[in-house]
Amino acid sequence: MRYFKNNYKNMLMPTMFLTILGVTIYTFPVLFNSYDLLNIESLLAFLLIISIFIPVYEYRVIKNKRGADLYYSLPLNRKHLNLQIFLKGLIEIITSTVLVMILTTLIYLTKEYNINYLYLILFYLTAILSLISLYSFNVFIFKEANNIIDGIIFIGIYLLICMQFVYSLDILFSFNTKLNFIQFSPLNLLFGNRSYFISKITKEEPALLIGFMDLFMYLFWTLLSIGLGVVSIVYTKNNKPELVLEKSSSYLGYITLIPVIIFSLSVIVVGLSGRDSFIAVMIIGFLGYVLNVIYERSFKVNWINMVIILGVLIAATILSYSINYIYR
Amino acid sequence: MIEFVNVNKSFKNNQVFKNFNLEIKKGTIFGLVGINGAGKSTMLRLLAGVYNVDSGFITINDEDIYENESIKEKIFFLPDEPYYAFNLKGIDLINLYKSYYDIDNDSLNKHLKAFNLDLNKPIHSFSKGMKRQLFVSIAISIKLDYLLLDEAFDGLDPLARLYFKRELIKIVSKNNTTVIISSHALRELEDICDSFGLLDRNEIKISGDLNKKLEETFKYQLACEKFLSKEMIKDVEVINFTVEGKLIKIAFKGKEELFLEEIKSYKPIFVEKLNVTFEDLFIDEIEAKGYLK
Repeated sequence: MRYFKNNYKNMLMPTMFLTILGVTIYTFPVLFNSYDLLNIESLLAFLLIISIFIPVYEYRVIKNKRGADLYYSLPLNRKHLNLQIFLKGLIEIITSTVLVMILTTLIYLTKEYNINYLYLILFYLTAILSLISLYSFNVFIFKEANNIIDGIIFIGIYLLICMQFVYSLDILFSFNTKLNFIQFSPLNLLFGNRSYFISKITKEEPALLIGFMDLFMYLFWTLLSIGLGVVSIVYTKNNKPELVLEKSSSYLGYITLIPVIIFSLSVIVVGLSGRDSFIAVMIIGFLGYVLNVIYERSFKVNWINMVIILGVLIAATILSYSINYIYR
Repeated sequence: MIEFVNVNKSFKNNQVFKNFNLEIKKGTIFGLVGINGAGKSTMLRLLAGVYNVDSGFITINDEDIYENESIKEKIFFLPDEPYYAFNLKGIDLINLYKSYYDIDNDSLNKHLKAFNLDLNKPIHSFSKGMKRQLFVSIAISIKLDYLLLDEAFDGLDPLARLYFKRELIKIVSKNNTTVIISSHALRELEDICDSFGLLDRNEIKISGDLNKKLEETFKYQLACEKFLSKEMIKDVEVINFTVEGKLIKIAFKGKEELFLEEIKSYKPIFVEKLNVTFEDLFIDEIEAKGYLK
């Protein structure tokens, strides 16, 4: 608590910045529009931006050598340090989001929007829970990296990779399930139920219903993300200043992500393009090399990695081709 | 007392410490010296709990330092390039440290006044020396038992160094603080340190009471009629032997009388005793290992 008491100024600046950003993205378009613009998508975009920005901003201090020297030498054990940084970021995002929401609601009221305010409040509360969850998820992912750039790349990949992988399985096994693939991404937390809430807020008739799968996947991502947030605080083995600025060799990092990306992309491309997919497969192979360059931070070919990438690429291509065009 | 017991620490394939052992007594100013890359900063980071050992123990009064909040409250580590966030003002930095340490405000104000620092300016606008003055002011204003200073004199002007040295001596005598200070400014260290350790790959090559070590080491320059080489001197332990034309410089440990008696047989033309400084001791020990030769 002494930290928060003495360093409220350190939180004030990011909170102000986030609030101004939120007002610019969400509130101003509502204020300056002549028609009844809810601008819910912009609010969600704002929440997505801050759920990525704040983990990077707050945890950057322990992802550089000088910051690590300071923070790891303080009289805090690693769990308390993690908790302190986590809470600081959390306070900043919640405070700014609540301020932006209150301000925009006041504008809705001033403009006498004919909307269901009860559902608006419910939506806001859900959005805040989603924000907390996505922030927790991104903190966990960012901490797996040893430097800021890798951390940002990991967050970006993890927001999409599960969705891409499930899509590739859908193509491979021809489930034709007509799945809402965003449900397999943490982005589901923000964007999964927006249509339902918009229809309720705007008193649309007949209002959309929320399905079992929608609710289940929302709860799944919420529990998983908050669980990962807790792990990011209590698990301290990746709090290693010795590894700061080294290449990010975590098993949850490039080592796993590159093969998964190559596999799922190859399956999707071959499944969709069929016999004409040769060039696309070559491009995926080149993408694998580029990702490997980012991981190794060297243009020099790491033969073990390249063999793995090419092996996955060839296996996925043959598998997808065989299932889609020979056996089917 | 600080103890390193069989400490091993590696970074990838680079083993910095191998079965490293060292004791540092309470209330001393310990000068940590060594060539670049010898492991001085790593040793301080291990002591500050920034790094963990691969194996072995580092203890303070028999308690492990790593992840030990109560022990770490008694330690302050000032690295060679201390961190401050962009645009952070001096006053904000002080507030940050106040969150974790018990800072003596009177003492801090005295130091800040002495260095004439404007705390309302962003730290990034300070010169290198001013930044150092700010961090040093904070470091010596905290009430603690152990002060770890990496490249402590770096960037400080001669007057600031003098002030800093005086204040260090004061806090050691007043609070019985143990100061471990790494620096290449050996003359500054010689002024304040009562003990030292010379760190060389994997180990402390020599350590102990600085004055005693200096008293045990002798340095002579001489010229002889007869040929004299390092191998020909048997009665003392030669640390360094350099020849420049006819002039020979010898640093040795052992009995001075025995040395003087021994060189008589080489018909010295002149013999002159030189003062041995910490810098001489360091250079002699390091040159003997063939560094930069």
